[in-house]
Amino acid sequence: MSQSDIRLEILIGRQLDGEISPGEQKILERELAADSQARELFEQLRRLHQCGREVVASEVVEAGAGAEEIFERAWRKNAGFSWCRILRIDGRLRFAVGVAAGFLLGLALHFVLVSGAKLPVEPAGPPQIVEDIPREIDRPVDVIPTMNPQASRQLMREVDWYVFTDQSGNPWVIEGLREGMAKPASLRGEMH
Amino acid sequence: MQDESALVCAARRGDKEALQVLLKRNWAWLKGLVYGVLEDSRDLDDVLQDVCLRVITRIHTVRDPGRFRGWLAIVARREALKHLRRRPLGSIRQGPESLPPDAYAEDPLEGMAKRELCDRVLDAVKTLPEKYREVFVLAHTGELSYAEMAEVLGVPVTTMQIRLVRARRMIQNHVMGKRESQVQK
Repeated sequence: MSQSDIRLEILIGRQLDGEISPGEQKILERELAADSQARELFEQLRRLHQCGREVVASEVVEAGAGAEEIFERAWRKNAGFSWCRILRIDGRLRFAVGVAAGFLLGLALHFVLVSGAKLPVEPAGPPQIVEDIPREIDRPVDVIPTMNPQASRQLMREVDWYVFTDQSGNPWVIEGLREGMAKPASLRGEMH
Repeated sequence: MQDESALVCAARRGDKEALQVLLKRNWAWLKGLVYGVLEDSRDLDDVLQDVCLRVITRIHTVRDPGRFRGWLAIVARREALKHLRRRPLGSIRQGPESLPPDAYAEDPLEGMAKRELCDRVLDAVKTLPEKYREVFVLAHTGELSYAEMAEVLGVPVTTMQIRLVRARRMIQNHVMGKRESQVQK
């Protein structure tokens, strides 16, 4: 197909599709008047265009259900997923919301499962002293008691250790004891 | 166009009626475009329903209301291709059908009954490569100007015109019974 053939076919196509300008119309008319092959081509394309219109109309445009019906079907189908439309959040935000929701759920599970079902119960009456704890810890210690190794095996030691530095910069290790027990502190480093 | 932009804005805010009007206005070429991808009208309604569903759920993502048509074309083509991929292999056409018995007649267009000619044209349209079928069907829906067709197809107007010329020539050659190698020239 030569360039002039393509040009002529474009002009004929524009004429058939109603896109031709007045200038192009004049050129086309001149070509058709001068060339019998051009006239033949025009006639073939005109019939093809007419047929194409009919084919597309019957096969495509008039085929199937109407726009309203299909739209309504789609609208009803979408109703099931309407929450998506209401939220209208993009992917990253949806991810962040998901993570936050997961975190909150995990936190709730932690309190329910790990902390157990034993919820703190408010005492019914006024608080009572269950055991009179000896206040030995307040007394000055003259002699640091030594630990009996035999006895220590039988002891159940429940201690926590605390470290602090005093005003002079001495590091101290304090044996923090549970309720009702007293133990002397020991010094880490030199004794003063 | 201004009116269409206003409709898009209303549709983005969830106005069902605006959305319906928008789709109805663009329905003919939308059908043509989907047909162009599918090759036939078997699943046309199913695909169009999916397109509508997609438009309903994603209309808020249209940033420029003036380019709604281009966006709609992309959505439609994507849905049609998705549907085409799901089709069983046996249902996909394997190429052009054999030529009609009187295909080598001197001038088949002359003596041919109109119905028969239209059948051959339809057959030829189905055998066209997708990009030529799309442009031919769009041009013959009579709904869009060349500029609008180019916008829908996502190509320059000149490219669209060349494709249309080639599509017409291929169909003409098919109707007149020329072989595939001649058609491709």
